[in-house]
Amino acid sequence: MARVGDSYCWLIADDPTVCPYLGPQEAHLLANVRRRNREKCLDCEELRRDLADLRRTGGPIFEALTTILEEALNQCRPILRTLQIKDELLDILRHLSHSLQLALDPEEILYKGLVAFTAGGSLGFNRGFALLVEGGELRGYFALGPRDGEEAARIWQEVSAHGVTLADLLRYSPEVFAREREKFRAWLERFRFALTDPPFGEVFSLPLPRAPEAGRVVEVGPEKPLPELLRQFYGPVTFWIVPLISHDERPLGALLLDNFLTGRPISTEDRLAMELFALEIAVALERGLAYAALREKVEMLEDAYRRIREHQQTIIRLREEAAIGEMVLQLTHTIKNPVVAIGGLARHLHKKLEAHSPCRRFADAIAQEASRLEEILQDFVRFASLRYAVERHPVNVNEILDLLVHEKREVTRHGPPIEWHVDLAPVPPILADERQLYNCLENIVNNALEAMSEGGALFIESRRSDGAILIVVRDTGPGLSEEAARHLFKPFFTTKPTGSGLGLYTSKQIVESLGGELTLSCQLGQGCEVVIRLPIPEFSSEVQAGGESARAEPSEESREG
Amino acid sequence: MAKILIVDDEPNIRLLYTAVLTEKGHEVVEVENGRQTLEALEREPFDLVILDIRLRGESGLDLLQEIVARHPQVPVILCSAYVSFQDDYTSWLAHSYCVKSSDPRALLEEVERVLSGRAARS
Repeated sequence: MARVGDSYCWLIADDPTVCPYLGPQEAHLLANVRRRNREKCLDCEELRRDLADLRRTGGPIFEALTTILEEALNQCRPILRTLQIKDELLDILRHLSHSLQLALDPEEILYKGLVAFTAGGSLGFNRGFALLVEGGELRGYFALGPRDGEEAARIWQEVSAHGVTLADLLRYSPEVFAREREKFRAWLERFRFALTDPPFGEVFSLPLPRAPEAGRVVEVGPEKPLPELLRQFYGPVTFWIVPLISHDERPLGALLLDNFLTGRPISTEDRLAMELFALEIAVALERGLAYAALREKVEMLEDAYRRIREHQQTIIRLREEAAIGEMVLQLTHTIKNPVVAIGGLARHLHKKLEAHSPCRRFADAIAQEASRLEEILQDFVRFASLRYAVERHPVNVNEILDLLVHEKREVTRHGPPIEWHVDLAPVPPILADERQLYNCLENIVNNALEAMSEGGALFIESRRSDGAILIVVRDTGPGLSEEAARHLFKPFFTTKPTGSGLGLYTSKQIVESLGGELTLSCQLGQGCEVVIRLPIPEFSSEVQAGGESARAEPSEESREG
Repeated sequence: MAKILIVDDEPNIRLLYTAVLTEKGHEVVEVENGRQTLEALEREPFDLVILDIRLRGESGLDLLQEIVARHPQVPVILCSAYVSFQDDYTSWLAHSYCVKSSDPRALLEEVERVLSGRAARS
């Protein structure tokens, strides 16, 4: 339009015909000439042409003015562009902060973090990887971005066609997460790096930045030394590592970002923005990880509490039962003697009476009733001893060990390989409850087997030594620290998350109830050895030698009569 | 015919045992505690001791150990109300066991068995 009568288009207000470059949203600029000049005219060809004309026709003063104006414009343009970028970055940061505020799940946090790094035109990295510190090393956790140019084109087209906003992209769902992770799963699973591996060692040892130039973002060009796997993946492509660090300077993870398709470099402002984003993500991640750890601890404590309550109830029940058992036995003993005397004397009386005496029937009745009482008492005792009491008989330790080894070999056949070395020298019998002794030895053997989860050798020996029977169970597991070994026989102590912690405690109690002792020696890295010493009863050897079975084991008939 | 020492703290049990054993022609001496038992064994020879495992205020098993130590030649039948005495290996010292019953046959059989074994051995 340029010249309009005596005036110029860029001087006229409220005339819609003077400027064809205003969009429907910009009608307000018709009235506001100064703003129109600032926002539209400065970049307009018409103005440029008019100024050139003025320079020519208006004399040297106009020439100087237009030169100054052009120079000013040239300086303004990059500043305006930077402002625009900063605007966008701020917008992303605002969205990210908002979106991370309530996130506790590390998957969600890392997903949103990578979205922030890859979305939009400001940072807009082509691709991002998230590594997390687990078990002291960096492990591939998640990745976001296209695998190749074709996929990238498709994604970008979809995003612009559907008018996808940043808020849409930041919306997390486990399905989207799983789908994205699946794309790079093969690499993610192989990405395992020591924190000291280059270039991570450098990344995590950088001091807290004081200025943007000394920031924590590390650029990794094609010449930088890298773990083989990373070089294989990135090839000559430059990428940037953004560390995720906790408030107390612990490494939480790292983000690996690249522009493998566009090859765009990053500016100082970009680095600053990356650090701000990383800070936001790290704070959320630390909170999320702490929450997860706390939840796990709470669950463990609840579980432990439940188990302790169960054990307490068991102990109370056992105590009650033992008391009941003891009471029943006491009572039956006390009653038994009078009943025997009544019944026995009645029988005798019956015999002594004349065959035709009417009193014989009475004596007979008394004897019968006494027999009935005896039977009832016998039933009581049988019940009480079955239910509550430990029954000791002469048992041979080797027979129990044989049985146990047989059983355990069968059970562990399909587990880790165990070499069994069983050496049982003849030993005399001892008085013990067979099942109880079996349980006692089983606990110890189970413990040894569980210690050798990767396989190993199990040595089981028995022999006679100084008036005692020695039983030795030795494993080649990882052993225990002295500290742990000291606690091992305390009730409820366990190194396993699922054990009751009563196994070895019970074993020790049983051995001690037999007048024996149980000792454990462990060496870290070399396994553990349990030695049980059971006293040989003074007359046991005599029994064995004499072979007079009636002395050791009265037959059922001789007991019951 | 044998001379038998009955050790029991219950007078009516002693009465019963004495009745059934004398009926079989045995000579019976009754005592009710450890001290009397050892005195009797020192005083005169016995062919058999019938010992209650539970005596008032003392353990029949301790007494059993004493008897075996001092008079190893005298067999002992250990009597108990129930079979739980086997929990103590000291009871293995006895030659025989008998569970108390109003039916005296079990006791009489045990007595005959131990006495005949002794006769065969000596």
